[in-house]
Amino acid sequence: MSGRQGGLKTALYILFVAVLALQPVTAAESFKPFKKLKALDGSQQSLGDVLGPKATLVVFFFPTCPYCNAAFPEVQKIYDRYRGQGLSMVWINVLPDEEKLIAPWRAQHGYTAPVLLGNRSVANDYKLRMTPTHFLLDAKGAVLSTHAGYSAGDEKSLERDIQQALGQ
Amino acid sequence: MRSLSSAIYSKPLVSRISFLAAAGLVALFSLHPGAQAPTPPSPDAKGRTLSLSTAHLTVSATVAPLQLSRGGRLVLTADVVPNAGMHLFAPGARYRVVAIKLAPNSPFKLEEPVTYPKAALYTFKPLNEQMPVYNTPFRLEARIVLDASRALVTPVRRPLPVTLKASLDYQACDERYCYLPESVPLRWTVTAAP
Repeated sequence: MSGRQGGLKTALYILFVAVLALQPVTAAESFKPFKKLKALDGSQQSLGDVLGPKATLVVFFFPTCPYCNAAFPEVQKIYDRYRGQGLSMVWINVLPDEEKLIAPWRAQHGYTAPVLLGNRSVANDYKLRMTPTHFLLDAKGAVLSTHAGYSAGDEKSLERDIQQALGQ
Repeated sequence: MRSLSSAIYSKPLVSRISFLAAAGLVALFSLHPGAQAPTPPSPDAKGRTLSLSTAHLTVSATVAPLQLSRGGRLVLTADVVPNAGMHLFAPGARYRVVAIKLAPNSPFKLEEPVTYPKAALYTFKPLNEQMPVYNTPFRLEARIVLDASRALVTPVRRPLPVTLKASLDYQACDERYCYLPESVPLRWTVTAAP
């Protein structure tokens, strides 16, 4: 019995090593382009339409997400501060049943960052487990950094990453 | 075409070590129950209690009785145990409140609103906001009847099997994250008198 188990372990180990060896080595991970998503003005936008000249912050959210509500006042300030310096930003809603909340929610909080209407399938495409989840991209759409959740002070590290992406 | 062994050994040693480390982590995560999507529950021997775990909680849901008399009601109870450090929103919170929901177009309906136990008050520090939550085991109870407007039409006057489809919908949070809302499917077959 133990001999069979040993053989199985060896076979699994060989398979494990083989699988590892076949994995590609990636320098900078590319952000998977999303299919065209509807914007609040009814237009359809793809990732290429929202990429900024230097950097882009993509944030997945939904309006009743508690940590989004904690983070977004700071994220909006960052948008206001750097949008004229080459930063683009887009917030992608992942819960269609909250789409109707978005317009009044933006108005209530004075948010101006562009919003696209996604769904759970989009969330699954990026393997999201929580919101907000941020992806900071370079001008070509490569992922520079990611961040999930929010704690007070997180906006400082996000801002540092953005400044670096903008070459400041 | 390169052989498998040459493909392995042509990698630099550092890369192979990186691969091993990365795949080891993947293997660990894949073995962790919290990393799994909710799996379809399986009924117990009596066909009444469904038990399953997600990354955020464990739920044991029971429907009784399984034989529904004419004009009778079913009681669905869901005993929910949040994982350590997790909380779910209770009625009164302005977020997504944990709920038992019947499937759309169900032949059943709620006889009265789902009953909730008393919740704990939780302070959400980032917004300095107090909200009612469940962070310890709790029970939800739903009284369910056949929906007369969706009456079962049958020429045979004998008990009929009817599927009760429901879900436990919730959003779970901890001290650092709020996870994406989940809908845990629940399903029973009950026998309804004609």
